[in-house]
Amino acid sequence: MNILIVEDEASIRDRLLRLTRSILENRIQSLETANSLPEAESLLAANSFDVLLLDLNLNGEDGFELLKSLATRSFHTIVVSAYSQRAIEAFELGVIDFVAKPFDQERLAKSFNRILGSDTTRSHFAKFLAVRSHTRIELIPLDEIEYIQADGPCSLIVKTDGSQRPHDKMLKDLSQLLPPSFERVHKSFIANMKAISGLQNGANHKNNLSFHSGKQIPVSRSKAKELKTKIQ
Amino acid sequence: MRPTRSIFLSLFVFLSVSAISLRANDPILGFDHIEIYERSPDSGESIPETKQLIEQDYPFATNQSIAQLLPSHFEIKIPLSRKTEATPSKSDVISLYLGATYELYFDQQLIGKNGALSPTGQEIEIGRSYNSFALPSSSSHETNHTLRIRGTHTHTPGSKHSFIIVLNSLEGTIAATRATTINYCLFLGFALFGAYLLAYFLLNRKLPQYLFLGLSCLLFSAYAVNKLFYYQLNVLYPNLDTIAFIANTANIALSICAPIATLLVFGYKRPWMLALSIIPLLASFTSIPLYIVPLTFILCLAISLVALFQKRPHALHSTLISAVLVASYQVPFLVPHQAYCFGALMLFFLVSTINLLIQESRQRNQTQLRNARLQLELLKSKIQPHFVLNSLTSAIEWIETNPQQGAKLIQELAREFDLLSTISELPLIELETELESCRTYLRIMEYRKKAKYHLRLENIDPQSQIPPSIIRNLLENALTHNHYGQGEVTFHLSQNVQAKQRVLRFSAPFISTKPHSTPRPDGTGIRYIKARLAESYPHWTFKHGPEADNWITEITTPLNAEA
Repeated sequence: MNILIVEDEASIRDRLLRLTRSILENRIQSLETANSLPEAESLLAANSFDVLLLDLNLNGEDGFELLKSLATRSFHTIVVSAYSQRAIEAFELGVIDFVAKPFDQERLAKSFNRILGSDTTRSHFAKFLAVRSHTRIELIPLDEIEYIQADGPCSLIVKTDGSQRPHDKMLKDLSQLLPPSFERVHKSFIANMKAISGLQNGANHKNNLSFHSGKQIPVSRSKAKELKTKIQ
Repeated sequence: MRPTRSIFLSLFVFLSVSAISLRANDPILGFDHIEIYERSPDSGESIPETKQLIEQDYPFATNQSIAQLLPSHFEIKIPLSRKTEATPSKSDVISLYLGATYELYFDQQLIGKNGALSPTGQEIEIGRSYNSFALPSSSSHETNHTLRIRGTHTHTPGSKHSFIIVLNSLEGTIAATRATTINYCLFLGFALFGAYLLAYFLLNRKLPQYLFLGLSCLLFSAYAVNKLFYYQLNVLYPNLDTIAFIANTANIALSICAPIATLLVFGYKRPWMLALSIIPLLASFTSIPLYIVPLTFILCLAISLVALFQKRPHALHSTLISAVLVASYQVPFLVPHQAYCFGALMLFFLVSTINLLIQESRQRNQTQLRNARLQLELLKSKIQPHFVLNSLTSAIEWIETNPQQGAKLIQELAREFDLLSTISELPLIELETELESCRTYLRIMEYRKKAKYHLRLENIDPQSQIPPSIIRNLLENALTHNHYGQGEVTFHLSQNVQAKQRVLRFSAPFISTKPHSTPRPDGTGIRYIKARLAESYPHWTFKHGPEADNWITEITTPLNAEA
């Protein structure tokens, strides 16, 4: 795991370093730190990271605008902040976890476990998926998404109006952010179950999930059984 | 009550009181001319060739003021005639406002004396300034009479006091005296109002117009009290010169203060504008047939009209007040009843004072509320989650990695919270206390940032007063917005006193990613500082900006705060 810690207070930055090493041990490939946003952006541009630990109040600046931009990237973001009242807002933008200060090793470990997939319990989910659209950040409400398709190392969001938006995150990373109404129906597809119109049995035991727009996506056999029960 | 309504209420009261109080005089005797002779100081006889005939169009005057230089030894003859249609009254009275010692003859009959004269007309006993004499009952029956005044004013040979002759019934005389006395007492209300305005200015020193308004009211009441002495208190006539001198001096001072007060109320502060206040005094030396007091009110009216045209606050009120004052001196039927105008104005001033007191009470409450809010904000901002939670996170790390240092950090935090809870209740604290809070804060931040901070002081008076957390907010701003890293950083604080002003200068190294030219809106810390300064000082300045490699903040306040 390649990790970047962005925190301007040395003692807290050291704490994050120490606890991260203690939690992840030999699962860490690289562990970098930055004490300012410009430094962080330089590191992000030059390196590839899997996880970003971010303080939202760097040098007195409000980090929420930055959060929107970071949410479009391929890595997961864990917010570490004293402003716990903005946690829900952060989740809605698509962070994997919000760790309130002060924190201990157990709490930080829970965040990493979510990323690693060993902890699937969640109470807060994204309400938007942030995508970069030319020079601006577009926040797509989840109810406008029909399905998400894998696209190499990235993903492709297909909206109910037929338009498409690319996303830097892989499908498995997106599925960790999305609510239960979005299900991984195929290794290459996540479907918004609120947008489906039905499940069709195709030839050669292939099943398709159809949407109100008329589009169809394939469903894995194991998932098809489960969905049949749910839909009926 | 709104000021506009109070003006109309006052005018209504004035008209009502005037209507009730005006009692038509119905004297029977009157005169149409006056003869003045010089008397020989040795023989006491009139010198005929010196007759000065003052014959004006009195037609049946019963109340006349004559401004005429009387010879030191004089004789005044006044032919009286009876109003034919008048009903004979039980008694008539002649009142004389004449600064001299004299004997009064009615149809060659001595009817009264003011002081005492020798047979040749020399002063034996000094007379008084005012006297009333009952006329014989025959005065109401015969058609023509002669009034003769034989007197001397050797103690004031060169003075030119007006002398006033009033003919009236006894009832009319009593009523007029009573009304005049009451009216002059109203003038004393101006003194009280003036004293209140002066006290307000001395306590606040915020608005110089209160100083000049207060002085104007006091001077006007001094002028009015002098008139009271002059006409009502019957002083020995040589004292009239002193009274007149005081009244004239008050007039001159009033002629300058009142226009200055009016100009300052409207914000006209330029020297050439204030110099306009000298116009009434200069004009009084010319041949303009107006006294200095009405000239002053006319100038105030002119200034008020200009302000009204420019839509300045309070212009309407000032215009109405000035118009009433001018009318009371210039409108013929109002002149005898000036006091009623002043009484109405006093009522207006009384209502305005009540309004002012109510306003001040509200402002005081708002200030108290604001103070309470600032205290709360201070506590919230300093014990805000960001500060506390970051400090606790840092404390946990220190405790886990270096328990001894962790314990010290906890102690510093306890000291900081204790200080804050004490100083937040105070409007001002000693600079030494503020610096103690700053040092504690820097020690905490040293633990959090793993850096080294110094606060260098220059020319600091530790006993001087300052609102709480001013310097601390500046430190917090510097540490928040600059990328100091883990090195050593030195902050500087100096104090300079110039012309009763204190300048606090705070300097912090400027290491920011934002360019110098990027204007920053005031954050919570700067807003807090400005609110505290506004609360404690009548005037202050706050300037900050880059200077070479530093960010400089300069706070200028008076040496003594308004606690």
